[in-house]
Amino acid sequence: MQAMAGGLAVAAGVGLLAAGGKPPSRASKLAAGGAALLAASVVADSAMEHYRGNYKKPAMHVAPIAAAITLATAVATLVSARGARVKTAIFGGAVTTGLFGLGFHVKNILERPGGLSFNNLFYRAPFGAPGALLLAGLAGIGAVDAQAADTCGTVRLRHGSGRLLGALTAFGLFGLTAEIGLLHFRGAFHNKLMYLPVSALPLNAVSIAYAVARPGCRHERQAAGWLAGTMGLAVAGTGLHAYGVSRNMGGFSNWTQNLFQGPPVAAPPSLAGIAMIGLAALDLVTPGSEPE
Amino acid sequence: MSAIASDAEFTLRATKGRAPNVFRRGEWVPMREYDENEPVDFAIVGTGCGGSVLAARLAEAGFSVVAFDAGAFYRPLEDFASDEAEQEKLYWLDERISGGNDPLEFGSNNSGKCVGGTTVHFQMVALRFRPEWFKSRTALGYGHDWPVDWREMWRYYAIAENDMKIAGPVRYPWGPKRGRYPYREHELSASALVLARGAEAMGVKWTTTPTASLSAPRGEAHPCVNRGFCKIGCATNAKQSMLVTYVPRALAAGAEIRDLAMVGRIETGPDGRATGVHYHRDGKWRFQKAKNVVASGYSIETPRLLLNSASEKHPDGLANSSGLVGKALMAHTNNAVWGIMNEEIRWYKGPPSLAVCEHWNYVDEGKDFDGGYSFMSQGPLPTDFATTLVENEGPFGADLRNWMAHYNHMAGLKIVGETMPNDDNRVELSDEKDRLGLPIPKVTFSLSDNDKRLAAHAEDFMSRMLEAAGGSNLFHTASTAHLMGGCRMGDDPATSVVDASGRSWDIDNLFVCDGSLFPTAGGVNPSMTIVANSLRIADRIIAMGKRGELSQSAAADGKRGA
Amino acid sequence: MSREHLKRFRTPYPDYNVLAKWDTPSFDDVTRRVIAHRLEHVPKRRFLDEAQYALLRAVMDTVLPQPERSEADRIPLEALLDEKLAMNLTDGTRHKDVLTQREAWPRGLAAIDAEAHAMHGRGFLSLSADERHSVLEAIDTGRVDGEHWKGLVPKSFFRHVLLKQAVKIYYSHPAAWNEIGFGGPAAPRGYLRLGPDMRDPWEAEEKRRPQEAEDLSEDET
Repeated sequence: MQAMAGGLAVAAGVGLLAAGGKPPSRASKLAAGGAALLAASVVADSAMEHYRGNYKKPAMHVAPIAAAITLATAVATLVSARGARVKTAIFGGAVTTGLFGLGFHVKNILERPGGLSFNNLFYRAPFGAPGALLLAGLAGIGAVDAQAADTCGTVRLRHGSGRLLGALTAFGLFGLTAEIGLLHFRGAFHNKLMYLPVSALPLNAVSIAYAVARPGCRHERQAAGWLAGTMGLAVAGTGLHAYGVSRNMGGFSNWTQNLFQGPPVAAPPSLAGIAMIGLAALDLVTPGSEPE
Repeated sequence: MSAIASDAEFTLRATKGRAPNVFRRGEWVPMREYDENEPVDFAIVGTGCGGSVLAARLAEAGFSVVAFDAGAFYRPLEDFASDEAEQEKLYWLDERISGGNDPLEFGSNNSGKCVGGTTVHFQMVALRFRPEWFKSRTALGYGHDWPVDWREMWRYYAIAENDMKIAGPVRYPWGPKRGRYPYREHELSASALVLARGAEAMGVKWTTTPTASLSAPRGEAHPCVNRGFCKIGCATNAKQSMLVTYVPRALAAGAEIRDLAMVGRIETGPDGRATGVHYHRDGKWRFQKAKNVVASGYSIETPRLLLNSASEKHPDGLANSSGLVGKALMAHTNNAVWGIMNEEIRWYKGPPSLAVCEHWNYVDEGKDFDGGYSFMSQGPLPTDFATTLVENEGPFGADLRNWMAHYNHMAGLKIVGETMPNDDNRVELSDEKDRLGLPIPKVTFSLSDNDKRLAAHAEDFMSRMLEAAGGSNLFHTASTAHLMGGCRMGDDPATSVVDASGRSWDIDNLFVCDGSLFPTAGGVNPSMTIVANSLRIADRIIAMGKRGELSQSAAADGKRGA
Repeated sequence: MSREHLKRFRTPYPDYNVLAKWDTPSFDDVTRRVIAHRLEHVPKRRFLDEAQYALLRAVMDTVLPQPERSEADRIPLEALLDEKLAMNLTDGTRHKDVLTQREAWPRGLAAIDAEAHAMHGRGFLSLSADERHSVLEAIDTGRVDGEHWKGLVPKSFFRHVLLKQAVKIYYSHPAAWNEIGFGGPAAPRGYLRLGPDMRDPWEAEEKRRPQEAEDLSEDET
């Protein structure tokens, strides 16, 4: 009952935030879309993984709920420019939750025999999941900020906002590289395609960082190409992970085990989320892309 | 056990140009077949970690190979049930007479009967010998030296581990540096964490056990799903037994496997050299001609076969001029301590021995015995644990059921303890005959005082560790595991049966390649050492072939006789 | 001497039924065939004679009493053991100078009956549960008359033949898996949650702690 009442309250709040108001700018939409994708990935991942952890600690309920609220707020940001302050506050909450989550996950790793061992890094609570919630929150804040910059329209403000989102994208890509690298290493890179994300993402990160660091230097197109590639990886990765599940013992008919045993189908879409944040950053720094 | 599960125990499967595809239900792979009257380059007796490895490597090198196995050719996905009683079909249950002060148990304990051999029901623990053990007489003052340098073995361990995609820790905490294991370690189970916690409390190192079970997909084989029935046959194909590794490789390279084919005798000609093998298949005795014969039947069946092949030229059995065939049989002591944990362990999940401590293999101070031991976390299935409990402690009545109701709270630590090679521990032929008319083997085994001191040391250490990890109501059990020795290899024809290449000192076209070659037992599970040693022997045989030293070339005979 | 055997056994898993997983991914075809056969096929007496068979049942009910089960639900230890003897299924080891299982069982059963007479003046079948328990306890601790055993070592027969065979049959039965909370068949689906106090939804739920275990090492003399 409580959960249902809470859900209704959140839905009503989000409805208010989304209703009316003018549609946001393109950059803001992209960033909000990215935040939404990341948050959606965290909803699926944390709900599944904390279920796998039998919700042993009450705090484990927080992550999927916080991610769901972030997702709803990101969707609201996508459709309406209203309620900037409230949205920023909610996204800030997501950032805080992500940071606490990281703390809990570190503790979870260290309390096992072996401490900071590969076994615990492979199989205990991952850094990536709370990290993604942190990113979603920051991207949401960035989306609100981009809307403000686009509304005001000065190049300085737009570049500033773009740099922030670009830095966030690069930071996210490096983080994901570490996470994917660790987990694909756990899978012994048994399929050569598993090397693809860990080699492509850092290059993409460098390219986007370069593009936003020196706006107008015509590196935007190159960075956009990389981001499109990352989008492609998200699609291909989801398909390959689904194939991975199907080739486990019992395939999808043994889904109660294999969806959890992995590879995680919900993980690769977060790549698309980060790419969208990157596109938002490029939109803000590319000359001639100002909204009318 | 029965036709309820499958027809493999009654129906030849490797025949008519095809053999079972072990990765698919009901499917086949093509198999090359050889004429019985046309001498093949190698007739190999047994398809475990000796025979199948050799069959694969020799066939890949272009030799014609026929490998025989007395057991059935299974497809794990459709033939292996999740059931202890049914899976007894994997064991060598032909009678063996067991005597001595500490008679060995065979069957489930150490002897497999199916294509793939005992590895189909081994516990997948994939450890290496400590380097000094290859020179234990010179370096440590006990046992016999191996005719091999540890660095050579180290190279072959790496190949074996890669061939079997061993899942192990990134850094192994004992011994000289070894490369990273090809697959990553498995997630630790609750029972493994008991060992880990205990080791950290006692201040000794521990690690995830290198395990022959896939932690990621490989080809058509599925990764492990933690079903925990590993020891009685893996129905997932995650377990890298010989059945799903070297046997398919051997078939693909053109070797023939003959299932349900019991070799009873190696024939020797007037010149005393081997000419082929007599084997029983499909209801009658047959004969396969061969230029070279390899005995790979493990520590009981290999000596039994050599002894039963006595002829006028070899009255005491083949390769037995030293009188050592069947002697210096070794087992590992398998003493364990068990306790009840406060938390639920549910040790039936996951590979059963996921954490290991090799401390007492690598530390020599503070010991009142020669040799070493490792110990691992445990996860016995219900009847396995129940028999251990009643045979050692004898509870019965409601008390027995009550004890077994603690099954999900139990944890245990069990050693693989080195025993000393002793010529009185041996395999002989009895006067009794089995249903094929072959003499039943008689095995004598007694522990030495040193072996007992080792076991006592281990029990004391492990008890303290299990207590430190939170165990209560501790009890001890004693048993043995594994077989080693019986056809020792060495550098001297007077004190060994075969040379470093597994070639018999007496008969130049007769080889032995299996665990019976071990001069000493070491304090680790033997399978990886058998595989590595077989890979090494295969390379030596291939090199001999290139130099024209094998019996197929006329020049060979003269060279070696001297 | 402990009175532990007079306590009634209580399973920690009263709601668990491993067979409820029959149609889930925990069971595959080959396992279903094997378990179905075990449940449906109660072998007819073939090896022992009627009197030996009745005695065997009484002994089995003493080493693994099943008072809470109806005749239909009871695990028929004597029938499954008689079948093993009839088919002469062995475990691959015959101890030197030890009787084969086909020789050992009739002789061991007769010796147990003789011990009952010696201790209580009546045959094993007419003893109370408590008296039956005391006879077997005397055998396990070696406080018996070797005369009756004719070459069998009482304690060794009791532990390595009688108890061993009994538990191998008993704990192969799904009803026994239920009472100890064993996961049972697990293919194609195995397990996900491996840590301490972690349980997959398809595993047994412990509703109460197991009863206090009698310390085994205290029995050792």
